[in-house]
Amino acid sequence: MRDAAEVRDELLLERVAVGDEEAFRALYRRHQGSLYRYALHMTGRPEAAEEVVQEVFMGLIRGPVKFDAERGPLGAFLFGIARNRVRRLLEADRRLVAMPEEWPEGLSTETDNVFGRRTLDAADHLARAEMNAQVRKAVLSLPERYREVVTLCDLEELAYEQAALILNCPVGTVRSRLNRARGMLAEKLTAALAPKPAVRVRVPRVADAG
Amino acid sequence: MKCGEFAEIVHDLARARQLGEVEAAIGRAHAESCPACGCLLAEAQRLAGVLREASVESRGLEAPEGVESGLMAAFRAANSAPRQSRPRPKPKWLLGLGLAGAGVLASLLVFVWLARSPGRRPSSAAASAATGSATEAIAEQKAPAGQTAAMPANLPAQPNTSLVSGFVPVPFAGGIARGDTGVIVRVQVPRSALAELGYPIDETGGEGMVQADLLVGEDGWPHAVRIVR
Repeated sequence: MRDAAEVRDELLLERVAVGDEEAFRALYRRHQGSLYRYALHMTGRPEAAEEVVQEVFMGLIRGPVKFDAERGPLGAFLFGIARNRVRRLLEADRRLVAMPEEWPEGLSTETDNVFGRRTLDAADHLARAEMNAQVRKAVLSLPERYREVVTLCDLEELAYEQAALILNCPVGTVRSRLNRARGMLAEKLTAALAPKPAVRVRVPRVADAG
Repeated sequence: MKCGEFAEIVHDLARARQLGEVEAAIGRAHAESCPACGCLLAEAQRLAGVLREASVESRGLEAPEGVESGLMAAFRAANSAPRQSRPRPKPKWLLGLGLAGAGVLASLLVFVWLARSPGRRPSSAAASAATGSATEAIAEQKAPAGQTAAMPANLPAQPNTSLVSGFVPVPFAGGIARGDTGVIVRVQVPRSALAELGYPIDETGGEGMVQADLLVGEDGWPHAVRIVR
């Protein structure tokens, strides 16, 4: 049983095939974000992630795609193409699996302010940023097969079944790889995950002007 | 539940998903009765928390706007050229070749200007150096590019060479209008590269290098290609 979003994707794809520009734009906007993040978490390089997204959608432009709705949703199909491209990139240069010098802008905790109505103080903000950097570094250091399950299931929060479809493997394999990957992450992040004693931050009082 | 079994479900238990209610309840009961597994669950919960944090943080990340505009342009181009349903992206080496062609053109212009200026006639060695700046170019000739395929017929071939074909336009190179000028650059290229340029080459001929003339327009891009023997 396909949900409304999947049916919409299929209709858009049909319109793309007959040259509907707006349908192509709509498909792109629906899927580019998750594909970009997946490629970014896998390669650690923004420019590689851009290239992956571009290649995936150039495939749609180039001509009839081998998409079969009976085998899974279009999103999984696009992830599959992205995955192949990522693997080629990683094979081409193993050195790419390194922490990027600069992670793209946009990674902030503004969402907390918008949705959670919370204001983070500077120390908390820095601590979170530091922790997120450590997590990204730890994920990037995982072997490829473990990195991809963590990226799909933990960072993109896909269901195990969706990940299995993308990785073309049984759900049980996803589950066992994920368990192993999380164990490895816990080891890598031992120090960061250790319970910390509460730290009281003393904020200097601002002198009244005048 | 044994500790080994608990270790297999601890991360799912920490995320409160992917586990049935009964299995989760059994797991929690085991964690409460086993201090080691209780610590394991606490660690797994902290890991789930930091991964969730990293996920939320990266949620706003998207491909740069330039990717969308480039793809939309490619989509329009592909759909405005029904004859070629499969647009070929220009290979990277083509850009280098185009730049080399542009360099040759610039060298020629400098050479002609120097030759026409009294007292500035360069020596043949200097001229050779100027025209030889493009390392891959074996020979180049300034040529009117009035006709794409017919034009090369009246251009001389290099000594010990013969033309095997007329010029074939390169797809998506914008064509060549009457009155345009260009430079012919002779290069050694793989047969597969000729196919990339849209040249109808026999795929069964195997790999290997072939000698070809590229007609490079003033924009620095090859506009047509022909094979030379």
